[in-house]
Amino acid sequence: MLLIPALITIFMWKYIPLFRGSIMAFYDYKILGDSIFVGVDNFGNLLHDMEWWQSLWNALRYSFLVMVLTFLPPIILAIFLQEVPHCKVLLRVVYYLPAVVTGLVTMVLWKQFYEGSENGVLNKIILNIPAIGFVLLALLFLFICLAFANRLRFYELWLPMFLFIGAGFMIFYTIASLASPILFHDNEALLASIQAMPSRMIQFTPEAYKWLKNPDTAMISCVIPMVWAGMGPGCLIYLAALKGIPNDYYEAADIDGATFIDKILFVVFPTLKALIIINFVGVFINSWMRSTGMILVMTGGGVKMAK
Amino acid sequence: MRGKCLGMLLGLLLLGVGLSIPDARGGSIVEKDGKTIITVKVQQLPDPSQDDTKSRADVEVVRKFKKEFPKIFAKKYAAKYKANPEKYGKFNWDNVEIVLERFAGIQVEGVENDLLAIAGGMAPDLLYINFLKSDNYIRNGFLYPLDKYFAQLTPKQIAEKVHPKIMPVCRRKGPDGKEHYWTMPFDGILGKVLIYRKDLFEKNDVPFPDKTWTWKDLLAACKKLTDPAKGIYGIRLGQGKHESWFWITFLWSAGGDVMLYNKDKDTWKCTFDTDAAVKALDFYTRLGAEKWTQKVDGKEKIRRGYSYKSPSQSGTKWERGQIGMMFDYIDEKLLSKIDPNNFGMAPVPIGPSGKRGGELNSRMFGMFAEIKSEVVRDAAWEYILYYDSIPAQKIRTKVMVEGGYGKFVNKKYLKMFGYDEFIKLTPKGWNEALEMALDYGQPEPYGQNSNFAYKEMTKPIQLADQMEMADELAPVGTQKRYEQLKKILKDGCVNANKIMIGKLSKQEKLNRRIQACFVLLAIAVAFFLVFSVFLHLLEMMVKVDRITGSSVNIDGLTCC
Repeated sequence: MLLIPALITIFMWKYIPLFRGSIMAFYDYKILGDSIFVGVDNFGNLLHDMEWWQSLWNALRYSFLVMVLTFLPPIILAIFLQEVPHCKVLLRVVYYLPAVVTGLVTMVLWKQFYEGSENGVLNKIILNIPAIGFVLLALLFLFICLAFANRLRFYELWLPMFLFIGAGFMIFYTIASLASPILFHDNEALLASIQAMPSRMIQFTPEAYKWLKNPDTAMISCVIPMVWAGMGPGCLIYLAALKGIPNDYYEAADIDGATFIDKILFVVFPTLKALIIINFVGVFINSWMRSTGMILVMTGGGVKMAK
Repeated sequence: MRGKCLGMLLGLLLLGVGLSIPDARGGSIVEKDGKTIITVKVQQLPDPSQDDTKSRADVEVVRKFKKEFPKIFAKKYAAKYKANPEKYGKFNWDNVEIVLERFAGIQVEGVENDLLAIAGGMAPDLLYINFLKSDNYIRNGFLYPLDKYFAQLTPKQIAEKVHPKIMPVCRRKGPDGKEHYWTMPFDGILGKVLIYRKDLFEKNDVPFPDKTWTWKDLLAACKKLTDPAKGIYGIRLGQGKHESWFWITFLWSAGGDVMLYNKDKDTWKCTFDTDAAVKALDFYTRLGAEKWTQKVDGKEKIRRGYSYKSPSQSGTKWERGQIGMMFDYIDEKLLSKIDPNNFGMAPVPIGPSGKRGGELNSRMFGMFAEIKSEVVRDAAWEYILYYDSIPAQKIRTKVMVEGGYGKFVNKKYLKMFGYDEFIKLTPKGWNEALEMALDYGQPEPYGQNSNFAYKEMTKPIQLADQMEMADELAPVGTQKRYEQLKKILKDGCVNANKIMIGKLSKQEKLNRRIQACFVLLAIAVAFFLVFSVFLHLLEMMVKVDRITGSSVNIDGLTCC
């Protein structure tokens, strides 16, 4: 009996509109006057609408990027928060704060960061890092991924090993490409660029990035704020799970000669596996349902044909 | 017992909520205390809470109309209504009052709120119609033909109320294939001009824009004014799905057009892929994304374009004097409200065709087609007539003059109402700019599905902008660049025609239906399969639970 109001509400506001909308899809619907039944014509026109396919592709890419990028950072953050010796509570508060900020505020904030001139916060940072900085950062991430791959090779886990190698090279390419406007100039032969590389390593990016206008960077620019905002709750859940791992497991791993990477791969990840799956489902749903308004605020309608 | 009480309480609560929801439907007629009250719901009714002079002037007009309405009604309608009570109702037509209600619909991003209201059966009686959406509203039967009302006006009166250039927008073919009057313009006609910041021009020693300015002068001024290191830009342009609103001025100035109407075939066609359009796109892309360098602290910085496009901050930057120029409307009635000490006005620059092209626009009233009562319709028409009448204009002029805006009122009205002394105070060149704007102006796109026009034109503009940013466009002045831009526009035009006007052959329709059937079937099968696997899993879990009475562990997830 007590459930009836909730059931009525859900039925009225979710299922009736869904049902009516489904019926309307088969009509040339008119707000006033008689609608004409057109069968599957609307669906046929949709299949031939390139903009719809582009939008669907963008949505799939966005969802994929959100899921992939949301996977590791909360785990890494949880491990760091677990290992850090001081100011645990303060750090946990700081890292959880983005989650309590309204989505709209998050987007407006990041929009300021992404400002396309050299006065934008992100551009101010990027424009003051020389080319060698990006290259070294890219190499650092590549090294970390190869270290993980090396341990997996030791245990003959080939698929995860290749995944880590692939991820490492992708991250290397992504970060190193920030240095490419400095190292490689337009209409210049490759050999000439390589010869000039040593002197260009200490040079800076000549042009500010138009993060939200450039099709190459627009998508990832919209994803990062979602990842940043989602790190806090994910991290707390994983942190709680990490607290539940008995110390015996770590001691046993130490006795077996496990390294830090081995403990992460074979103690931490298996414990968090169930939570990761649950988190994935939540992130997947959010990436489809909550993203429209965010992207509208960030880009005002999106970069047409964003890659 | 408890359940019954809760149920009753819920029922009462719902009843209370239902009764307290105000009646948001359109106009009505009621008799109260011997007085017949006609209610008309108006979209964009002047708001008394706004304290700017223009709004106060409009509110005063509305107040006067409400006061005058009983006399107007007695003169024009009372006898007619009394003679036909079956049609008009048995009300006291000797004592009539009008109530004008403001329409306030739900605001949803990307959707016109009056469309929502129409769909919800809560539409206002008088709709605000612009040129872009006029075709859609007419085709969908939202508007009531105003022929019988226009028939009451003399040709001179019609000519005064409807500028000849926008007559094709107000009077055109409807769904029945015949020409009708659909809308009435109000608040005068709007032309497009170039507004500039005098302080920025003086600071950079750039001569003010004038009527001799060409695109070359505009570009040269932009180059001199733009200093991205200080956050200063030459011109304000747009961004987002309606960016083409800014481009359209250049398109017309180059001699091109958005859509053309074939009267014989009664069809519209998008035509923004001509050579003139290529010139316009080339120039616009240069303004927005041309590569150049600026030396800052001894370092060469790469810059793109001379314009500022971000809509969220461009207003603030304009007010702060960080943007040199922008395109804006000039009003036939109240030229502009900008401060002539800081801002100047000039006609839009001359294009390579030797012509100028600017948008001509006007706010328009349309009458909602589903108004049930002819009495409400007649009252709505009287509001339309009065709102822009000579007495109304007299009131507005008086309020504007008393509010310190006398010098901004069109000299035609200053002369008409005895405020000649203000004519010489009008900033130099403004009246001339208005006359020129009305002369070179062209109506905003109003053809078939024209509300998609700006969106479809924006796509090639954005693509050209992206290609220029990525240095994929050939250098300026080359044949290759021309061909690249031509292809972009051609593809855009073909796509726009398909979306806005496209007709499919029978064979193509059949092909699409077959493909759609296959896809829908595949989706239904996939959904059914996934659902049955899920049900099977649940059944298994329940069976195991019944058999063993214990929990089942599936891959770390413990299910009870």
